[in-house]
Amino acid sequence: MLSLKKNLLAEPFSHIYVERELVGDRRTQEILHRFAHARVIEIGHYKDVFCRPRQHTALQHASQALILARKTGSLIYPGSPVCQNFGNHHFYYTSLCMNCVFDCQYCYLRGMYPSGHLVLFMNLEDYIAELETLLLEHPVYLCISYDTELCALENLHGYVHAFARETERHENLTIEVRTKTSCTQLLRSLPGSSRVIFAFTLSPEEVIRYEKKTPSLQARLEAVREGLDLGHTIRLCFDPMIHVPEWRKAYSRMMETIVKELGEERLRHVFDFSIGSFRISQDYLRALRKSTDSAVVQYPFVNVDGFYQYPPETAEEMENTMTGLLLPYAGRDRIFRWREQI
Amino acid sequence: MIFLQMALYCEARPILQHEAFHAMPPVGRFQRWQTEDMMLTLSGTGQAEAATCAAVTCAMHHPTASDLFVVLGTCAALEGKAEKGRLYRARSIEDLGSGRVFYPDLVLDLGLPEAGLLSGYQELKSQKERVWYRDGRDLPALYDMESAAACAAAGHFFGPHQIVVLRIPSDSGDDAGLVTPERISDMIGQQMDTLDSVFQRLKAFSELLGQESAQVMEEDPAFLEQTEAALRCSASMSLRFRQLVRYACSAGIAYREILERYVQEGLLPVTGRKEGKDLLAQFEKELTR
Ligand code: SF4
Repeated sequence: MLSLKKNLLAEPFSHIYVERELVGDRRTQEILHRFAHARVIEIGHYKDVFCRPRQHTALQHASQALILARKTGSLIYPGSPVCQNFGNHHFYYTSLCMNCVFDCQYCYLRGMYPSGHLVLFMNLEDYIAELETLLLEHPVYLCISYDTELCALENLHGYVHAFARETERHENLTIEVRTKTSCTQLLRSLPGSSRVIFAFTLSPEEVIRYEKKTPSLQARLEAVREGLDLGHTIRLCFDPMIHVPEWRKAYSRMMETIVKELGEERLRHVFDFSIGSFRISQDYLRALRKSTDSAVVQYPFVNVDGFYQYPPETAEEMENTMTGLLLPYAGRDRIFRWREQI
Repeated sequence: MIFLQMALYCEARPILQHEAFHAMPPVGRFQRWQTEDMMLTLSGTGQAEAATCAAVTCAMHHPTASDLFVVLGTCAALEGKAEKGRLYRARSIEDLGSGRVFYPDLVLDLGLPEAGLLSGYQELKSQKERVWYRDGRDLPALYDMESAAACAAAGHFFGPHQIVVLRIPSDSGDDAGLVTPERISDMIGQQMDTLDSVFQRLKAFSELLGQESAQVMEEDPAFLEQTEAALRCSASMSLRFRQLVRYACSAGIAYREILERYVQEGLLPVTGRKEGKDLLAQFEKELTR
């Protein structure tokens, strides 16, 4: 079936939809120049394409079109209860992109959006303006890549650089850039900063099987190593932990690889660690289960206050196991568990 | 099944001759032909006919996730960039009455040049002033009088990835009177090789869609019902049991062996709801160990 798919489907980004009012925009033109062979389709509003009924999100993920749009309304949101806030009181996130170039089978985006195509919002200035208004009121901890993968497309939009520059202008701003990439180029192009946190999600290879198109554990660790050596602030996220067969062995093998690749000394310089077992809102899970028969989403989760998660004793055991694996290398104060913040 | 909708018999003739179609009883005025995997219906010209025909086809045949809806026929070329006699795929279909634009999903690569299609309600001569504003766009622009309504009707039954609009410009509007039915048949006939490969790709795509939807596994309903009865399941226990089975199937766990063991050990059927609950909990534990 894979080759049938490959033969039949259009190449990713072979089509780029552009909102009409953005056609003359400089940044839009720069992006279009990078895809000289793409077919450009002018549209009125991104929702005309993104929100069509009955779309086939799985096929769209395999043959993603790019949609360049302007986002209106609120642009920066307070974190939801299932977000790990790392003790930050003013915890916010923003969506510069809808959807992701990666295709993790457990990703709630599959259940959240009606389309698998990728929307990139071009009005960065509006995001920055809203952020600056917030900064006048209180410090802000902002996740800029919470529900997408900005680093993978940094060459295209430069948003990580743009927000990193904002941290230089505003002392009360900290940003978190969550990633599964091996973004060494990006790390090399930015100065290390205590207020730009690169949060690498690490998973055993047994889980990476379900994180389609993402780099291997080895490749992610190479980026982590380089980031630490360059003086970047690095967070290691074991979130979401996924219950795969033999998960205990899988996670301890992963930890062995981490220690081997980074060494104990570097692990001491990791800013902090985050641990969380998989959880998802009930509505998203329902939609996700319709889109895939993957065992990671068909697991018989339990519903706790509208969020599906592993049965409490299983989740507890998974998170305790991961904490136990980390403790020889990190003090308890550097390990954040999602469950403990709620 | 590929539901192919065309306006005129002279457009359909080369296709009917090329593929092994057999005639089906018409529905109202709509003539129909079928092969093993295609059904061709003639709608007649105009938006109302196109919408009615598409709606009738869809209502009668209940399209599935693997079916496709294809509009095919001739049209007018709006500007020099559209080459007469060439087969184009419409990537946007603008209804000139409502201003609504329909975007078919282009995930399926048909290897065809693409065009923007304006779909109006009058013959092009009287529409010209309204549509020439599109001059200067870097894209062939075409004009027809069926696609907007056909897509709107089909859109109630098909997803945008299942709808394909193919057009061959035969004239520029002004010279439409010179285009005879014979010329139209010739023009489509000359594109038969291209159409052939397009049909092959559409069939393969339909197969792919079928495989994708078959991935959602269905267990034998009789077996599920029997086991639920043996477990004395309440409605919520049934839901839980079915989710466990679905998980077991997707994780490749031989769950029937576990249930058979319960039978051999005398645990199944249970004697009461409480035992059923306990056994279901044990089943879950074994699956998620
Ligand atoms: S990398 Fe993150 S946002 Fe992207 S698909 Fe995976 S889980 Fe979703």
